[in-house]
Amino acid sequence: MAEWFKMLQASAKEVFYQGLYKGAATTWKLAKVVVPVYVLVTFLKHTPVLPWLTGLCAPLMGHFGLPGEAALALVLGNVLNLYAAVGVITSLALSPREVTILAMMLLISHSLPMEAAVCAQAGVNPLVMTLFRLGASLAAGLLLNALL
Amino acid sequence: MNLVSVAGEALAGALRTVLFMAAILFPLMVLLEALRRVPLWKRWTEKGGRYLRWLGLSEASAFPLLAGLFFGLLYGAGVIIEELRGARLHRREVWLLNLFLGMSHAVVEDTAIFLALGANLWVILGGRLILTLAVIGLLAAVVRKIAAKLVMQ
Repeated sequence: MAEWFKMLQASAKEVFYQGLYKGAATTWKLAKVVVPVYVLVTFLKHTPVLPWLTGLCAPLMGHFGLPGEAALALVLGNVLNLYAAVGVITSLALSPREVTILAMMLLISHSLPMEAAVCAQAGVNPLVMTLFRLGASLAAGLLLNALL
Repeated sequence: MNLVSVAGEALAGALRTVLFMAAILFPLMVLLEALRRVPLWKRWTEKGGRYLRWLGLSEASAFPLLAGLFFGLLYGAGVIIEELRGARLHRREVWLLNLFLGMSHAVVEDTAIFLALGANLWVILGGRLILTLAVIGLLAAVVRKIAAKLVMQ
């Protein structure tokens, strides 16, 4: 009984320290890309790049059954994060159908610079990852506009 | 733009993100270490792995897939990094796993955000998962076909 308990204690210790070591190694590997991308994206937020992108996208929103103003939510969501998009959506008077389509598109592709950088650390090409998610998001928007 | 205030905002936000990330990754890795030693977990993932095969994934993908689906892409990627380092995850399934998680992750938190805004739950949760399964299943089938052709040559 005591022998058995000692073994369990030893392996619990081993599990704990190995877990901590791996947590530290993984956090370090991710932090190496999360910090620079976060800083870059924060600076980008304060430049005219995002309003310019929004202007480019606005005329295309009709294809997804969305009003032109929804472009700002899509751009902020894809470049910054979902919470930035939510801020825009609450300021728009969208119908439930429009919110559903916009939500689906944003859920499939959002925080693209950050999440692509993270996936790059997990062994895939960030550009391919980004284009794949954007493509899937646009396809989902077209599909829902046709189906709903 | 006030460079100093933007730099401050950027660094504070980056630090907060890293701390939050660490707060989830440390316990997640301890859990992973513990689960690896539980025979029942091994049996479960082997059983579950059979249902993953049509997605081009093996049982080694089960934990990163669950971590990503429920906690978020960052944590799914964290587990993928760890499993790759230990060479437990096959190189060839990493692409399909990442693309799957790219389309569907953090299904509780992110879905709740849009649910609060009035989106239809069945569409944004069920529709998103079905679309993801369909796209990744199709990709896996194409990859299998190409791999089979390469073997025959």
